[in-house]
Amino acid sequence: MTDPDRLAQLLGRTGDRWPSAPGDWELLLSQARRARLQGRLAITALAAIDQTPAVPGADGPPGVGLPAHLHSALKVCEQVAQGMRLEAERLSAALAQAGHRCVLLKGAAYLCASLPPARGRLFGDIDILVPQAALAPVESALMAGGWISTDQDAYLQRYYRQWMHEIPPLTHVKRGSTVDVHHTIAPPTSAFQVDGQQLLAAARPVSEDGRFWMLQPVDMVLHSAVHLFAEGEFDSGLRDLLDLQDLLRHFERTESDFWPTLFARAHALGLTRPLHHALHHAERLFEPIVPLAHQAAARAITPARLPRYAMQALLVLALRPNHPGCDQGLTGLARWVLYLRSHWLRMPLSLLLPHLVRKAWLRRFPDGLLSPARAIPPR
Amino acid sequence: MNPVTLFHLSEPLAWRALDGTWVVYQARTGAMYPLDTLAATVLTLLESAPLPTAELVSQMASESGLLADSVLADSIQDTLAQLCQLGLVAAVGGPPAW
Amino acid sequence: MRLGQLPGRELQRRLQGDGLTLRTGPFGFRLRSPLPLVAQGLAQLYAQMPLIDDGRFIDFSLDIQHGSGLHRWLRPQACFRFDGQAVFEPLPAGHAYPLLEWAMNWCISTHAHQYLILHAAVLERGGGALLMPAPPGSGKSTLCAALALSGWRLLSDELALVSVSDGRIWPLCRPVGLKNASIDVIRGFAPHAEISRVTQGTAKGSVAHMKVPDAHVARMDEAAKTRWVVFPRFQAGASTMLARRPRADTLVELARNAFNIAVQAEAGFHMLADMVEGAGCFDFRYSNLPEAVASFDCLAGGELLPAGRLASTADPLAQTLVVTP
Repeated sequence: MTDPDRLAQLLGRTGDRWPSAPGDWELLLSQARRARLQGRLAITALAAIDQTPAVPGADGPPGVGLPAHLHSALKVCEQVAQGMRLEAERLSAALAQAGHRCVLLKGAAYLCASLPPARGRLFGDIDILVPQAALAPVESALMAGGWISTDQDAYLQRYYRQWMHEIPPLTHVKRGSTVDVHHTIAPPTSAFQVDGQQLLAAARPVSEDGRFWMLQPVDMVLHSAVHLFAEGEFDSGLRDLLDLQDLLRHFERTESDFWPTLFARAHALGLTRPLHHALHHAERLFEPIVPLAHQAAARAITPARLPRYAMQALLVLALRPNHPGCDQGLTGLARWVLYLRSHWLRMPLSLLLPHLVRKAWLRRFPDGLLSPARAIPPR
Repeated sequence: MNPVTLFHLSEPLAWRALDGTWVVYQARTGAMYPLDTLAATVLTLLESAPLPTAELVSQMASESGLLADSVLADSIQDTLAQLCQLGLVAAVGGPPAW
Repeated sequence: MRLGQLPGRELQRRLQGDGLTLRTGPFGFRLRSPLPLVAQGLAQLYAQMPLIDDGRFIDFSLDIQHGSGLHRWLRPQACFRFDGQAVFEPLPAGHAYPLLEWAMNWCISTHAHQYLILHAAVLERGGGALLMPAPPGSGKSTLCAALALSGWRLLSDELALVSVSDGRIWPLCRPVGLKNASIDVIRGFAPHAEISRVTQGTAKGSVAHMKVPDAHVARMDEAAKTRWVVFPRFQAGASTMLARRPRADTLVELARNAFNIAVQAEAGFHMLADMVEGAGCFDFRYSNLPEAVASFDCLAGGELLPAGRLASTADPLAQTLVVTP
């Protein structure tokens, strides 16, 4: 199995044949772990086992071989989800005490609203959306609840607060969970200027008690698209694209006039470019997604020719899991260029270069000097 | 403490009795706590229904044959306070246990 | 076929090529490494381990590679990679073999949730498993090595694998890790024991590994049910003492020593409670290794009386054992 898009196809399409060679499965599982998709692979593969005997060891002794790894992955997902639910509840309570709504974004929203992307997901940080004017009081409320900014680097603090107009990620002093506080869905210094107030005005409660809120469906989709193409951290690229497909399939069933509303909103918020790229790559890697009736509207958001092809080539490469099995030489460079580009979207050029140089330097020399070989004592 | 405050288990708990000591497992947090007989009995009583302190005292007294006096009442109050602090028990209608 | 049957050159070829595939307990590993210390360590300590040649699914593929960039030449390093990603900070190249052992432990304890995994040594005698959880520095590894050389079958020195489906402990049979003073203690205790070269200057001090007796590796697929849980503590000058530990306390302490108790959730709680319910639970203090080993003989063979004396047929050391009720 040499096709590096194989994992994407198996997870994003229906009816594809699963490999039968154990070595192919080892590679799949390894790539999935690298892309944090092992839970999703487990759910999809275990469902497939019933139909095909392709999974090696499916009828073998319990606790041995591939099925054991798949079931283990599911166990971990369940535990992580449980922890996430708990954190979300605590977060909501801390915000409520200071009179703020808890508007969840991305993973936390998918979980609390029981949306399809939550299945098999390995959650990480909790992202919330607040009014820009409320950033300071929200940070105080969160500090009162135990979430504080732990990054001692004054430079990074400035990066977040002054240039990004964001609060740096806050970590809980005891529990170690992280909260990212946003006031819009695209970095405000970027080419995409999205007014957070519009998103908040359209937000919906997840349940009657108002403990959790989420973006309206089309905004959730657009957020996923923007995140994929303007955030620059590509290790989660494939997962974000799978989320997007899940959301589109779910909402086109549950929301009336979903597609026209989506395109209209994309135009209104100035997010047609990311939406175009997201739809294009979802259809390329997975299956047709835009219904026939709305394909004209999809074509209408195609950007100008040259940048589109350049961007596309880069994205094709960067959407593969960051794994040696998917490496085709250029991928590291492609990722770097995309990372550069997404920073370009975010920051004025005069600020970009010194910032990137410093980030690269910090990564190489975290102590500021050539760090001596230093073991983290394993158990 | 308000005598009409009702207490209840914050969530279902799993437990085992080992040589006369109970160990309780709280699924939500993964925490395990060894408990003495008094705490275990309080939890068992609350498992059936939310109860106010006074009712706990009288049920405990009738179960154990102890006097329903201030000593027992104080012990139960202390135990309830500890259990609340551990997040195993909460006052009905009060803030969440955590 | 066993690893020891491979000619040295073939061992190298596999390690430097597509990987050396071997089985340890329930797990298949594919090991790749160009570093000579890794090949040496495997050749010396893993001779009896079965190789996997039938193309089956391999649980864990891991690499112990050279460090990158300048480090390749100036200060050679060894780097553990899993899924193509470095897991720990690189170590000096001289630590390559202990790094392999830690890497294998990491793979298992992070992924194998079909087991409740405890940080403990496990040995078996007469069909019953002896579980010894202990924080570092408790002398657990010294005891474990000595017992493995004194009639107890080794299952593991570090990771106790409790199967979620049947509650029994399954062997790994990997070399026993020894640290600092215990290396010489075991050399003195059993001069015939096969011990690797000593790696100095690791995060745990000086480290070496002892080969597992062939007869134990041959029984690598035989599980055992927990019969004793003993918390050992080495204390210089102390007299040997075995004291009963309350079961409830043992349960909570075992949970603290479980790598993946959170993942196992309520089922894990009940598994531990089942283990503890059916086992004798003790604290053990010692300073003299032969005496300690003899005490465990008594534990295995004798009956424990509630009043405190350990009854045993012939062993004079029984009198030195105090079992507090």
